[in-house]
Amino acid sequence: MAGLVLIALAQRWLVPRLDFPALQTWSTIFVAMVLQALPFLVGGVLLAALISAFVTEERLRRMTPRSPWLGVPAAGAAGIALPGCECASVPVAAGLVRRGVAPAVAFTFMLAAPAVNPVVLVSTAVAFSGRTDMVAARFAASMATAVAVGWWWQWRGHAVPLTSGAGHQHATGWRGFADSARHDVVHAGGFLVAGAAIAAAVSALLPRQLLDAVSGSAVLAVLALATFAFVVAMCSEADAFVAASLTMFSDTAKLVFLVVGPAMDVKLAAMGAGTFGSGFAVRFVPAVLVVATSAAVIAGAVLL
Amino acid sequence: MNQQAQALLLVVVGAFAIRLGWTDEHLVYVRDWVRWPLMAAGLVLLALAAGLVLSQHQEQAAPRTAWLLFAPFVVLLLVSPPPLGADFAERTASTPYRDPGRAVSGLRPLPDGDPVRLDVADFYVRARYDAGASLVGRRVELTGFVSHDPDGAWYVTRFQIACCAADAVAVRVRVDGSEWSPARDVWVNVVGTWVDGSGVTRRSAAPAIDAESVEPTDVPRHPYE
Repeated sequence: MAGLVLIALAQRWLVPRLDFPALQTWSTIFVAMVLQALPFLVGGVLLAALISAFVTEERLRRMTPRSPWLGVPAAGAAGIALPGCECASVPVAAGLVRRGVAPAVAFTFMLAAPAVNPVVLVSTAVAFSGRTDMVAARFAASMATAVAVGWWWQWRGHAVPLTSGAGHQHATGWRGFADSARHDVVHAGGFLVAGAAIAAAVSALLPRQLLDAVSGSAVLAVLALATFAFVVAMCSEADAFVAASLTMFSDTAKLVFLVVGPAMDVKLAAMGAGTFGSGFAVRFVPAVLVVATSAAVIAGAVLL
Repeated sequence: MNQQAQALLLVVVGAFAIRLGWTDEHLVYVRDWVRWPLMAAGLVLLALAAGLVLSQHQEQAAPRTAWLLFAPFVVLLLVSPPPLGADFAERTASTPYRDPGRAVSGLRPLPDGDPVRLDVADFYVRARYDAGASLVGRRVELTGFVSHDPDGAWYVTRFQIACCAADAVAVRVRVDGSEWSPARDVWVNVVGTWVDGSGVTRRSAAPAIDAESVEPTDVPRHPYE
């Protein structure tokens, strides 16, 4: 509280002294990312709270296939119907896990929902002036990534402790709803901000000539845009427009950017670590990056 | 982070979200439509804060990382970020994303008016994909901020955004024939005609406008196209 008052008092003195162009660019992008994400985060948190407080484990069990091996592709298909930003899908996945849904199923949904929903596919079609091959390749590679990672987690992920496990909260009804929503906002919010700060720094400070310099080599171009997608953490609804503007790059490299970004970026990695624990993040993040990049390269070779 | 601090955090974030959505300040960061979800999210956060204050049950701690949620609002107060300008445009100067690609024949005829007001991106696209056919013989008026390049040329520049300023793409049109070379980030109105043949190929430099007048102007309500 005292800190806030101090900042308000210091404002008059500090503002003219913080007038560097690069700092201003970073600030604009940082605040923009947080503001854009905030409504999606709150929406996702409310949906997760609804699941936590009002959907019984029985009902959820009846809605999902009994075997997680079948549940994974079902969760991928459910991702088509639920347009969501990646910031919303992390708390929703946490809510599902708390209600006893197999983590592999929840993670597949978390990867699919921001990547294959109609809003993202339409914006991709618009950005690439109606190129249906790019839309199809994006859909196929993103769906393959979500399902492959889900199955991998079902196969190998049992030993990994998740901090957002069952039994985390007890209240149900409106009290439970409010508790769950508040808990998720303050947990995921701090990590979201940390990820946005890093991503904004990369956007504001990285000279794009550096990217263009590697665009000539097929392998380097793919790796560069996979890394770029991870560090700039763009919303999946908007990233196609930026991909289309990277005219120096091959279509496959652009596809890698479109598939890696919604699946995993610095903001999601931070939120994942904050929500499910660092033991989860060190396994899940690199696995998703590798699978998404490979899926995009294969889809690019076959479809583009 | 204890319960009081959490309530304060939710109030601060909620109040800022409502304020930014209510005023035009959000237009520096996000597209106009985001104002409504932003204000709704603010109301939800205020309601959660109220619920936390009114509820009598046991202390609920939150991790220390939650303090980070204050950061964007401290930055808002201390830096009061301006719309993206020359610094970012010069770093990322590239092509506009509303790229008609193969649909070259789809450009609509230029509207009436002398001079005719055009978006910077519209001018760019017409020069590049119509080989300037719709621009020949017409006086146009462009509004944007000034960015420079190392060769000493200056550009009337605008950003296009799809969702928020994080996905901004700079579009620029070189200004020729002006006596006045304004400083970077000055907003200007440029009236002139398209320089024949400029910016028509994929790899060529930006299109250019032969200016008959360059006037300083205010930052428009919507800084991005």
